[in-house]
Amino acid sequence: MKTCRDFESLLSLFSNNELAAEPRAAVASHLVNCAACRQKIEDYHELKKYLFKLPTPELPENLFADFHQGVLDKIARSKAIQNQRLGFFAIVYALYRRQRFIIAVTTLLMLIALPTWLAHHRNSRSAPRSSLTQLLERRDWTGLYYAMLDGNSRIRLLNEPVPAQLLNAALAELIKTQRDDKKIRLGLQQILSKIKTREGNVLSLRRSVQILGRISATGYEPAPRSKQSIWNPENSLLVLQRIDQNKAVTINTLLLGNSL
Amino acid sequence: MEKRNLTENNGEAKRNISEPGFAGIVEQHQQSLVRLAFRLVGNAEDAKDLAQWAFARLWLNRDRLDNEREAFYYLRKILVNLCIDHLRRRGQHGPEVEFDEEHFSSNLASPLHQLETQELHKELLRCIDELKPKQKATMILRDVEGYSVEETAEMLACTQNNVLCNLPLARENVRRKMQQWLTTD
Repeated sequence: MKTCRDFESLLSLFSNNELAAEPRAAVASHLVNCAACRQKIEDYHELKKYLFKLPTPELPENLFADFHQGVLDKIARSKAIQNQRLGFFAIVYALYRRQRFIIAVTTLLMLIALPTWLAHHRNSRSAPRSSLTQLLERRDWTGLYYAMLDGNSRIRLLNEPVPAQLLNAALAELIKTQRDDKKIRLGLQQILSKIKTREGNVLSLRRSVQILGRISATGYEPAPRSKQSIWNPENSLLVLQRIDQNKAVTINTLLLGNSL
Repeated sequence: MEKRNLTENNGEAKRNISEPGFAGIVEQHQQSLVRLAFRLVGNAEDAKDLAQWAFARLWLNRDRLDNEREAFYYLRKILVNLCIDHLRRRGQHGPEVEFDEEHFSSNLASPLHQLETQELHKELLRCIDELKPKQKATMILRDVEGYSVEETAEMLACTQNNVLCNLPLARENVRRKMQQWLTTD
């Protein structure tokens, strides 16, 4: 015995004459004894009437003033997108079809140019950059931030010995200004955490250390469980103030909390 | 063999839509297509933009079409699918249907009746707009625009069974939300 639920999906099709003969007969026989479904059918009829009577949208006259020009613009944009997609391969294919000599020359040139370009690229990447001492002396926080973004230079900077006096002064300044300058705060975070923080999604210093642990020259150190071992810039400052100001220290030792 | 050659030649002659021919197609169908897009996306500027993209697609794929009549079907199909994509993208930002009296023509007698009917239409459009994009498009094409199930399926690039699955879901959704209007009237 079929229930109303079995016919539920067929009722609107029944009311719009969209059912085949067999299911239509089944629905019709069900409707004889079911007032609720008959009511639904009436609702669907009424709904159909309303839908059919929905007014035709009238569009503003000026909407079509530059319509054709708009179409032409979109054709140009579509072509540009298509060309971008085809890109390099289309050029090579076209050259190959027209002139085998040109493709041979291009390939040869590319074979010569590619290692040169790669060598240049590698050199430019490994080119000497500002040392930590220079960055701290200039108070170049933005430079420090970008240097810390790069894994290799981060390790270099973390292990570079700098005078405690300089680090002390810089850290004091950094702590004071971190609320004002987002970039500096980001830079400081970058020193301590592995994440490439995006603007607008800034974790607090403490939170990032809690979540991520620390990155050091020897590798990644998972977040410590004990709250005491969470790095605190103020504590580090106190440590720095206590030691001989002419002693050379690295940020790494400071972060790891090793005795100085 | 001769007959086949003839039809092939005829097909070749019809094939390419020329630039003036294309301008004619744009002129002829722009109003109906923007109107259809307006029904689907509920915003005049978006409707115009989508219709223009549909014409651009037609021009870029003109080699695939045999004649202008086919061009119209192609345009409709492209437009409906562009509208569905637009609705899906817009879904994240919530519905934004325009229903201004100036956009809809109605010639009703008494002002009270007119006001009531406008209210009903507003509510009905809001209910339709809350449907999922594919269900919405199916319902508008079949129930509002009055296309057959076959035509609707063709425009949505799906099977007729697919249309007959989406239609009851859409209608049931709208019926439930419009219950107040349906029972009091």
